[in-house]
Amino acid sequence: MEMPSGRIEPTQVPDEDRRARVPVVALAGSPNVGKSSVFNALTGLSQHVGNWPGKTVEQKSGLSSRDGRTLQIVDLPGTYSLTANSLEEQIARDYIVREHPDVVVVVVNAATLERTLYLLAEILELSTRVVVAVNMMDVAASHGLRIDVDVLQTALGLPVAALVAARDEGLSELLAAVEVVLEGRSPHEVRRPDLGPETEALIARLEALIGVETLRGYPRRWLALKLLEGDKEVTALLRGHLPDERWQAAEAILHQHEDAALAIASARYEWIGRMTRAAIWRPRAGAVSLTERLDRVATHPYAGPAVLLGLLGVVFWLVYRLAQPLVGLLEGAVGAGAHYLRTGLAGAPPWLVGLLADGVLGGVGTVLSLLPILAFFFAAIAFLEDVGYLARGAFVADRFMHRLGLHGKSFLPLFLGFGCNVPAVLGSRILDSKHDRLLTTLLVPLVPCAGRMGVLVFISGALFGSRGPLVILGLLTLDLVVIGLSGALLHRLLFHGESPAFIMELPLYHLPNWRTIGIHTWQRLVGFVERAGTVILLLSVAIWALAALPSGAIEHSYLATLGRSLAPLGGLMGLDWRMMVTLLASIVAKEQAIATLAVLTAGGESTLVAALPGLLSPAAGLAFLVVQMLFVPCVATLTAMRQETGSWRWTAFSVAYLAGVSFTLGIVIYQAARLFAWGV
Amino acid sequence: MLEQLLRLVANAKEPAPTPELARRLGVSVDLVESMLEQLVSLGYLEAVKPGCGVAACQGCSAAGRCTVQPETRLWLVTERGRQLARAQAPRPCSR
Repeated sequence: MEMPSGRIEPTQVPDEDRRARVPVVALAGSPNVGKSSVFNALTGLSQHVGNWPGKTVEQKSGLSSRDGRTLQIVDLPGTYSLTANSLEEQIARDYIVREHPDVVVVVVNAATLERTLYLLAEILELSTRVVVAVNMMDVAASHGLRIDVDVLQTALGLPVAALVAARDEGLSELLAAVEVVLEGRSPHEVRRPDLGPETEALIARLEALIGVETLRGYPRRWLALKLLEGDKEVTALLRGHLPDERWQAAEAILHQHEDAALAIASARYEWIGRMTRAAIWRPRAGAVSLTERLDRVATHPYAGPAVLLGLLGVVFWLVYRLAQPLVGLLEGAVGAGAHYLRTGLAGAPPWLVGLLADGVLGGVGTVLSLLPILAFFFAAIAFLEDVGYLARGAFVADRFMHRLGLHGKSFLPLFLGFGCNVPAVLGSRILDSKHDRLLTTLLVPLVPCAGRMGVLVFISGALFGSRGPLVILGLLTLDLVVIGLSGALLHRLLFHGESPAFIMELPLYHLPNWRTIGIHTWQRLVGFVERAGTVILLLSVAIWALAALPSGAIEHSYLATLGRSLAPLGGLMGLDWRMMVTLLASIVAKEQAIATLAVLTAGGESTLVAALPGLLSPAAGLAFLVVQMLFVPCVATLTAMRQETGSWRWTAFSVAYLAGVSFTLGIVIYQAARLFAWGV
Repeated sequence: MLEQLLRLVANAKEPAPTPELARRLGVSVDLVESMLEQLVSLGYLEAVKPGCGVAACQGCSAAGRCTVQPETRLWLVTERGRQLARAQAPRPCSR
């Protein structure tokens, strides 16, 4: 049930005036509907570019001369609505209201027709001398949409023209439609949104208070409508214009009906739904689109997690298959480099040879052998992101988190944690409640960052060979369970409150852009190499020094003394002092674990990959991987946690909690393996 | 239609993707997203964009390490939206 035309017609100008001058056609439309293409196609080289009077917004106008008819075309700024939220919106509506263009051509995007019709719903409140130009028909067709222009025309009661302005297609039809309006030959009755009796009654009450027919060119009914919509400019205008008692009465109405704007917008959307229901034809409407079909599985409560784990399994299998041979080559190169260094520096002091061969090359060089692992890992993540799956994976993971009581927004910072925990901690600021922020901050270190993942893949590959991907998949599943249970536990014990559900946008699946994936991967690798050349280098030298001093024998070094003090705890997990020192060193930076192990096992002929099975039994290796995955985060993350929580107490709690959880699980795994006599 | 969408969001027991809302309302995903944006502008929903949401990346010490971000948006109901949705018989023009 649409409102018939005739309620208001602010742009009514005497016909003799219209005939006496070049007709003015205003082009209105939202951004990204191809309005500029329509303007260029209509005006060609006959364009004038300046600024709107008193504004810094560009104004374009030009002449269109075809078939003996000349029109002045004015390109209005792109706007989503006519509420004065921006300068562009104000300019567009003021032009329609005050300049009375002979025709307003509302350009809409055929591919997003429903979205872009909202502006038309608003414009029809100002003028019914409107033509609808449905542009980008080719884009809609490529999306599988077909717009039935005749049906849309009948539904709206307005002339409608289909265009592909970028190819000059449909311009004659558009000009013919403009002609129909200019000559008043439109056979249909314009259908505008029906705002409903309650809103109409409110408008009538406000109109009575406004009194005058127009104010600064704005029609009375439109002023009342915008007042209900909370338009700031109209509110200020009427507050200044109306006598106090009438303004107070208007304010009382507005106060009592604060949600009127919702009803008005709702009516417009219902109108859009009715107008387009029969006009948009989806050839696959009966069938299911590819994205929908894939999403039925990818976001399913049970199948979704299986798909996520399956894809991660494939990712890690590929990383192992493709990266491990390259890791072996790089490790071999580091070993050969150290050998040549020792030979070349035969006459130099032993400490200098040890520093350069074991401390610098052994530490930093071995860390750089993580590059292939990280390159394939980053590329795989960038691929999943680029094809549109990452959002689905995040959705599935977060549904699980939500069931355990986590706030919906928590997933965004937690997801950032897969790259690095530092921005993830900073990202907890998006949560409004202090408790939600704190809970998220405490959980972030449980998300394995890229550095941790590199270490886990490196060590699991060295220890478990072809079963490495399965081990990593098991570790990630355990990690998700620990995050979920920790969230539920901390939420229930320490914090209370609601965990609101949320709505999530899912992008369309699309083919990967290999260039984008390459750029993302490259940028992430550069960051990793920069860290290896600074933090890792300095700490590798320090670890080497502590392992060499005071006597040069590692077994009697300061580091050994420190490590042996942790031996009782390490013994419960099958880890010797070197592994405990490695864990401690990883607090500086997660990749440091590899550099430390390389320094501590240096001197022999074998590479770290070859040396690791001699250092760790499978059971101890599994325990070490679990501890490494869940252990205290790096110093940079701890600093960020201190900064964000503003509390040393909570930072210390996080350290204690993570150390407790990681060591407990490490002990449980090792002791369980012993119990079943597996891999000890 | 907006009231119906708001109630769906406010009463959701667990996270939902936009296509599911579109299916339940019998409209396109595009229209649902447009309506969600409208509800944000009216103050009934809050939109959360990807990223840390803190500030521009320039000047952030962690920007170089901020690497994994799904390209997606979230919408959550605000207190105002919750209040309206809680009303037994929502009548948008009378509060």
